[in-house]
Amino acid sequence: MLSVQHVWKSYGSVQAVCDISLELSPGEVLGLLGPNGAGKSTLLGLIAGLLVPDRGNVELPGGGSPRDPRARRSLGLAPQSLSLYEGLTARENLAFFARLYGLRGEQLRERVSACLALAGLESRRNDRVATFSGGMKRRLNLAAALVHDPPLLLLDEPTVGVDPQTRAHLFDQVERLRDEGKAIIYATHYMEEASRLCKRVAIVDHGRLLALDDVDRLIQAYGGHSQVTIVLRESPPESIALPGPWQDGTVKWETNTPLEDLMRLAQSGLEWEETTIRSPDLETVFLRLTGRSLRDAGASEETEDAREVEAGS
Amino acid sequence: MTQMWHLVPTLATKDLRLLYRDRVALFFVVGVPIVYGLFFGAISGSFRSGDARLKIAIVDEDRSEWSQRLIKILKEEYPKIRWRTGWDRAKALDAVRRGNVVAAIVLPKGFGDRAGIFFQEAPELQLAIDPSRGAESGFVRGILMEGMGKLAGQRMRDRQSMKRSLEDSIRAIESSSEMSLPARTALVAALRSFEKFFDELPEDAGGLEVSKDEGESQGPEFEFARIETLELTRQSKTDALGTPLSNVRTAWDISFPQATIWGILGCATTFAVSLVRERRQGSLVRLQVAPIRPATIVGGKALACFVAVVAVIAMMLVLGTALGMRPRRPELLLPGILATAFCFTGIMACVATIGRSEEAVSGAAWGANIVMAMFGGGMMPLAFLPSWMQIIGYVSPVRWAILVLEGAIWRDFSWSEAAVPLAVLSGVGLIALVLGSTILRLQLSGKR
Repeated sequence: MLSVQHVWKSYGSVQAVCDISLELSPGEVLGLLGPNGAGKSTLLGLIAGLLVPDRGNVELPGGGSPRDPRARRSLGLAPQSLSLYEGLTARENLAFFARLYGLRGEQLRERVSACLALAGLESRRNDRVATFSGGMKRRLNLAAALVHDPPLLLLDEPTVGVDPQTRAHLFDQVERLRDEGKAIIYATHYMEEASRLCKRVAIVDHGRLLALDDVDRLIQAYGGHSQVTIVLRESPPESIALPGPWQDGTVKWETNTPLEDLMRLAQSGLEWEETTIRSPDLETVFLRLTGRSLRDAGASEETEDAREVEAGS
Repeated sequence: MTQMWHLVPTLATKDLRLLYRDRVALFFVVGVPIVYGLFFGAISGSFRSGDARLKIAIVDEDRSEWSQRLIKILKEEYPKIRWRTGWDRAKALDAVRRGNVVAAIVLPKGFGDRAGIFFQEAPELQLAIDPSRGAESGFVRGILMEGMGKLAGQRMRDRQSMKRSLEDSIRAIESSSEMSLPARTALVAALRSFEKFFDELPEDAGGLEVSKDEGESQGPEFEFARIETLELTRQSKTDALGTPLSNVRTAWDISFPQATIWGILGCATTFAVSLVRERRQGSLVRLQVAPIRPATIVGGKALACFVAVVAVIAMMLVLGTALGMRPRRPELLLPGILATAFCFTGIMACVATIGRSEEAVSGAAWGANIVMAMFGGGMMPLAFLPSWMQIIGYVSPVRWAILVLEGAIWRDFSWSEAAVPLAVLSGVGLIALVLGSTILRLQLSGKR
């Protein structure tokens, strides 16, 4: 089990991580949501041993601090940047990283073959990475994190810049790995990825852990009401009490019981052309917790992320 | 520690493989020094002739048939030696003093009268040898005696010449007033018997054969020549460091150590930049997350740089040797190569910490390289640098690297002379490696 206890990290006057605690069990995928400058990469750096916490403690599966090289055997990291040697072939990259973890001989060959198969790159095994497409590199980047078969996997924005086919491939692989019992931290900007892959989600902003819970419970707690919109054919009769303001031919309102509300309006004789019901999701949870949209925050803070990784490494 | 010994070569192999596949980097490390060495060696060909053959002058003061025959024998038997003939004694001895020829053989007047005649006193030869070329002295004496042996064989076969010599000798003995009558009678009788021997010898008998072994020996019974050694003091132009320029045997002696430096600088810069590139690409993060210590990562990079530098120097030496470069002190090459590689590996570790971008590190490294090369003899040969540049050059590792290579190739350094550049290179390498690797380890361990 991964255990992060009251971890703090600052760069000068900038507090990158403030008192974050979390735990992760085998077979669980934990989503890490937050704009890049939120401290997400710093948190991953602290878990991976790339950074030393100012305060607090990180314990990797099997015990031991990530500062201890032996303990880091239990850890696999797929960084956001494609951390591969473009001058080496796919096989040479995987073999090199496997050797760093002490794999030799038949064991090394087996793991390299297995990871090439996982990445769907068996036919390109002897081609240099420089000749690969972005999607192929992204798959190999994940395979390189898995070559030593670690129980804990840190995936930092694994689907950035990939085509839908590769994205689907990566989702399948993450689900397979979860089913094999690996503990995975999945950092992403995309709500749909977190919703699909993660049972629990941690929302981080400005270095603080704003919420950490099951997705359903988060939505229940922070998602608010469903938003209902109907488009009317004509002006509503004054005798009917509308649940929201009528403006430009539409009526919008928020409710916990959207179906019941619609049923009541229909029984009162109101007629409308279109109905939209928007249920609360992680996006609304994030919006409610941070006061801003995750996608907007992520796009505007790319440079902040770069600065954070730079400072970290 | 055991893990480190496994992992450092793994990391170094990866870096060397990447270098091998990076054509641009490979050109700077391998191509540039070769082009530089060949180009400057070719254009400075007039500095020395480029001919590494042994040069020997022969002064024929006798100008007899037999002195000419000896010269012909020597030229035919040793065609690879550059024989200088037609000079007078003064010119030949001056050439030895200046180091333009290894030796001068003087055939004095009267040489032909006695050369190759076994019953006469051996002729005198005079030999002047460059005192700095002691190794060649024995060789020159050997070929001279072999030539004299062959000359004796030819003279034995020349019946008329032998009979004329006998008659001259008999007349000289009979007219001598210094010898007693019995002695004169006995010697004349002996010589008459030789005369009779030559008369009875069939025309096609071929005369007496002198084997090569006999020709090379100087037994008490027969001496081919008495060699008088002429003592000379070597006079030679020296460069700014006091080494005789006559030591330079080919233009490659100068151009290749100089060119090698550019390969070494290319190696150090390439590996320094590669570390920054790994940081930018993110592959360094993988190394940091792997169960290895920062010291192992630094060690892998250092080993790769060290191996590449050694390979570049070795390649340049092999190429230079193929072109005719002949190191005077080959035993100094190995320590020189190792110290140089160690020094520039340390410098690489320091340079890698300068900046965080490839451009910053590459720019800073090549800027420093140019300054180091300018004052260290990487652009203009050390031998021709003005004294003020020589003084500034003392702080440039390039100077010491070139000096140690030149010391082995043409400066003819003794071990004590080589000790200074070796110590400087090792010291600079150690300080730079400790400093650079400490900063790198701090950077890699996230403490800085």
